[in-house]
Amino acid sequence: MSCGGNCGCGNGKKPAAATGSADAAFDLLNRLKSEAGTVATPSSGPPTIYFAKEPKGAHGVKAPGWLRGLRITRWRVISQAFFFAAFLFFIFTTWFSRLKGNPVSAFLEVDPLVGLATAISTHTVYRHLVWSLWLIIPTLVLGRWFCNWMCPYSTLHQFFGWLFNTRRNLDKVAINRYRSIFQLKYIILIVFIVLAAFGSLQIGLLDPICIMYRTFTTAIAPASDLAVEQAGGSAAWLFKPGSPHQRIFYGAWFVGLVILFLVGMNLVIPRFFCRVLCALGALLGVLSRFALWRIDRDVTRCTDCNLCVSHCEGASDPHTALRKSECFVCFNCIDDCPEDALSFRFMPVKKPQPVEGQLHGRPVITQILETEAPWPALSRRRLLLTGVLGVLAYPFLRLSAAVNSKAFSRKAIRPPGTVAENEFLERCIKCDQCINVCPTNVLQPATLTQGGLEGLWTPVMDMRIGFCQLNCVLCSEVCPTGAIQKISIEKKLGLGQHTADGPISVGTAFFNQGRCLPWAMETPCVVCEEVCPVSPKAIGTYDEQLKRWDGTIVLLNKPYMRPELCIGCGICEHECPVADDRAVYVTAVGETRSKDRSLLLRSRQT
Amino acid sequence: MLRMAIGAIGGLSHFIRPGDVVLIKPNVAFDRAPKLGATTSPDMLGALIRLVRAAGAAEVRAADNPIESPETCFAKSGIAAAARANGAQVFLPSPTSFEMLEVPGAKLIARWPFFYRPFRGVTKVIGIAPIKDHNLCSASMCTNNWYGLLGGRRNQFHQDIHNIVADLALMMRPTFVILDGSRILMKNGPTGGDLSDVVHGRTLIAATDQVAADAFGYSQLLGRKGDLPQYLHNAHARGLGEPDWRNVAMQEEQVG
Amino acid sequence: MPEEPVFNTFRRQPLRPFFSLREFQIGLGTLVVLVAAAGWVVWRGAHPDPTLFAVDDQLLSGKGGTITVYERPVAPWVEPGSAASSAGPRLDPFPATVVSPGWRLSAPPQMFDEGNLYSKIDGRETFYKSYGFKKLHCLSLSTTEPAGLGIDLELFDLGSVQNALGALSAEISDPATVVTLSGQSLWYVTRNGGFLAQGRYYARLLGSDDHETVRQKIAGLRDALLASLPGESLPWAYELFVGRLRLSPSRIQYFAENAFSHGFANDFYAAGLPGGDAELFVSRRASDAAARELADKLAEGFAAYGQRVGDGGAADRRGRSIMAGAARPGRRTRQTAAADVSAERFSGRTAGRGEDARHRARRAA
Repeated sequence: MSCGGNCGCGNGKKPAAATGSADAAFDLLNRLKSEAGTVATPSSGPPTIYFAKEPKGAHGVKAPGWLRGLRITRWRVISQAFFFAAFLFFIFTTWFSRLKGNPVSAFLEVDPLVGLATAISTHTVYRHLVWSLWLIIPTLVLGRWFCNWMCPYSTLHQFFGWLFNTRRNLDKVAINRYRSIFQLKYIILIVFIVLAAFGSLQIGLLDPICIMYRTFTTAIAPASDLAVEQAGGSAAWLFKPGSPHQRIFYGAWFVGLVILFLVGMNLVIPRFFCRVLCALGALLGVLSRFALWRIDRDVTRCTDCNLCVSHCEGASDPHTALRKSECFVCFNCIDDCPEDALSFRFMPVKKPQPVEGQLHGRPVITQILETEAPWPALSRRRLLLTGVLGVLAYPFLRLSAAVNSKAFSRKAIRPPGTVAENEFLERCIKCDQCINVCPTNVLQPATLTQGGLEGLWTPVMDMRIGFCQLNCVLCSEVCPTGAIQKISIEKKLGLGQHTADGPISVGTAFFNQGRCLPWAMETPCVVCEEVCPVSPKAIGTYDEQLKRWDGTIVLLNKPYMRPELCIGCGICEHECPVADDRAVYVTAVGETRSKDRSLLLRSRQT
Repeated sequence: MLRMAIGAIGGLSHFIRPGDVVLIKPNVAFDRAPKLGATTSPDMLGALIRLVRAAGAAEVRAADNPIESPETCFAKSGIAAAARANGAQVFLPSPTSFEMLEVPGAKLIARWPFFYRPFRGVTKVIGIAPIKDHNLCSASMCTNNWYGLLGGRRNQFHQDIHNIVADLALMMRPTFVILDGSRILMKNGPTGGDLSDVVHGRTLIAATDQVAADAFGYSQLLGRKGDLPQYLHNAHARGLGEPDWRNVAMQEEQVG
Repeated sequence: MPEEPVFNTFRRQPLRPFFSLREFQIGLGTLVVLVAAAGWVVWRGAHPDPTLFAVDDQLLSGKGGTITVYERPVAPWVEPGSAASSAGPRLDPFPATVVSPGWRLSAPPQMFDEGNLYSKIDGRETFYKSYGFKKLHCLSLSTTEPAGLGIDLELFDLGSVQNALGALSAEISDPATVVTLSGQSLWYVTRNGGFLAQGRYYARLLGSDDHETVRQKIAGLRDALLASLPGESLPWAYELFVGRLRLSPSRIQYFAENAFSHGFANDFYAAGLPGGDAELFVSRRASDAAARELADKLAEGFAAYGQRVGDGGAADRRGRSIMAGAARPGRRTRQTAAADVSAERFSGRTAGRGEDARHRARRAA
């Protein structure tokens, strides 16, 4: 034999133990070769390794058509479709007439990043946020399954990426390799966590579920409703039926632009957001460190064709050392491997050394080192610098005037039931569910002037667009983190057991007498007093007859405020006919939620 | 009681023919509970719908363009439930439901956006309104009820309120009106908000002359002394009704 | 170069050769989980939170019931300078009707007190201060048509009824003036003026001209003031002297003490009778016995000055009032006085007003 008896095949020699030495491997090779067939081995130089295929039945069966049709990736698609439909259902039913008891904020409530970051910033777990354990525990066991089985935002990206993906062959493989830019999401995560520890909750800027809700609320649902209205479709297709005017939102153009950009980037790098920016994904990646089930590449079968990478969603390098923190458990690699070398296996511990197995009675190496990279690829240096960045970000953000009690924007009128501003910034994840459910379109995502960067996209009221409906507490029901505490109508109006506290006030209305028709223009009006919803009314009138400049005698009802009774609902501002700059307007003073912004010394009358 | 009241003005069959498409206009301006008297009583509306359907109407519709958010107003006032339970179709306003309406001879609304979608194909219109105190108009009753069908920037009309309400009487000549005095909002109208503002008037008025009905409601049920609101006189001057209700053929029935 | 396709070519087939039953089972398990999740959502949807959508009707009252709102009256339009435009509380204490059709305020109302009274009526202030002056309200009216006529109103607050009456009495220039006692006031008019005292107020209405319009207005003002000024009961002696005996109040004097130079003779009203020097002194005591005692004392006292003429002629002794007359010697006067005093005019008219006086006439020497 050409091996000179050193191949370890046992032909005429006793089998060599698996020592891991190259010689032993070479002996083994030769022995196998003699059984399985020829392989071209150069007479000099390092030998190529040839491993035999295992007989059928070891990993799977040559399946009938139906089993092929119902392979695991199909189930994954079903699951993605289901949760995407569930998400659309929640968005669709976040409306007074459809809400009933539907858990419309469920995606936010199970979101581990929301739950964890809010727990860090507020030291409490609000209401349903404990549901995030439903996701955390399986992630600890299975890895980042959420990213490809449940997350609706990723479904959106994956769908469009797939739809427009016209790459072929090697391009498909090249685009899915791991890049160092993918470390960015861990940097973002660390900055967010550090900020949360200081009491500023900014995860909502880049949390995928928050982005999804926010984008649908401010951009997609209104656009869809506009299209349905113009096409004459029935009200059942509207996201918001019964809304008398088209719903409009601040900065909708920006939100739309962002979503177009992020979805569009899928054509450049597939799953761009998920791989590069997603803070939730980063968190789940960290939690995958101790996943018990992982993608396992059988080195004895692998031919290094790299086809597994061609549809890898997570860019987790299944063809080399699997990056556990990047793997989305999408199973596309398993589908693509012609050698059946990949499987999803229960591997509680990583095997530290090559493992010998048996093949036709002969020892073979079945596993080698470095088939996986457990931790995210973030160097210690980068980790430290990121932490510093997070620490610095806090004062830079918080010392912005708009979020301080000395210079708060008078137009930052928060919904009823909101906690005081400091705590609000610890809780609001800018998901905009409150804005979604608001029946009058008064809630708007704040701009930078109204709340600074910390307050961006948090809910503020713009009374020119809508007003706070008296008997409505829907925003408090859908808020997942307690930025708007859940209140009942009783509590909002100060009835029953809440009579001593009085009604909740979100602001106070002021008259600009120089613009008011009866005060400055000898013209009767008084719409404001008519629509004031409290009883007795918070607007009273001085009634006097006047002989106008043209000689006619009119009865003028000149309105004035009763600040003890005003709850800041803003319907007066909304109905005031001086449309350009209302003669009565509400500002964020006289709130009951904090002493910072109270107006009167005596609390309001009950 | 409703049937008796309508019977007193000629009976429902006199007004509704089989096959009619009837629109009933309740007052659903605010999202108050029915007991607060700020909106039409859902029980009364339900009874009216049943009577109309029993008279043979092919289709009954209920519509209004509330001041506050339409969905919550229709729901919280109980109108949507009462209408649907009795087989009427509810129309909510939407941006494309309005069209320009021409009212020849009107001073202020000669051309104005009008909530037109529910009116397509309608042959009969019935108004059903509660009696409410109102600072500007003194009282809001049948003639004011039609305000809820206007669109556009209708908040400007308060600058000439007595002419707009007269214009409304010109705009809409209903088949008949029901002025519901079962819950009268005596003060803090038209929004109400407190049970102590409401008085049970125990009276129901059915009328073909909405001006007379309003005059009766003003002086007898709201108990206001002094002159009638100017808009009733304006309407009378334009030949739209008779504010001196004593001169109108009136029949009074006692129930229980 | 070939046309770049828009969409994915959708030709992917799984390359793997083998499939396991296990993944099908896992798939079914996933389906079960999905169905369970859907079921949970449906169940939650069917169980809404009731406090979210309605509030118990019973709770709707009580808020408005505790607060009463002041219903401000509508301020009517008044043309500036017209009759009604001057109406209002700023004319207080004058009644609003001082400004009537045809008259308007020519000067705004003014008020003076002890410190600045001299600026208004330099010279006469001591007179009023001697009568307990507190305040003076004055205003001026003038006609709108015909123009040129005016009335000045002066309303003195003199602190007490006695002061007001005293001032009125002192200012009566002509003793023949007819002074009317009506209700709780005394008043009289002249050719172009009117004067009245009611309660602690003494009012002087001074017209600019002897003109019928002025007189009518003064009469109207007088009535208005009588109706509006707070009155107090006149001292009882004025009833007797002015009301019954038609004496001018200028004749009436009041002696708080030391009448007739007797120390015990206090609280006497005296009035000079017309047509002579006869004076009538009247006093009132708390009871019959006290009156009798005082009468006896006076009789003793007067006995020193002259002789007793005789009893007053009244039949009964009546209660608390004592009347004594003192006159210079003069037969006619004496007789007249006695005759007057004895006339049943007094006793007859006061029948029913409680008990009448026992009167005795005395003649001073």
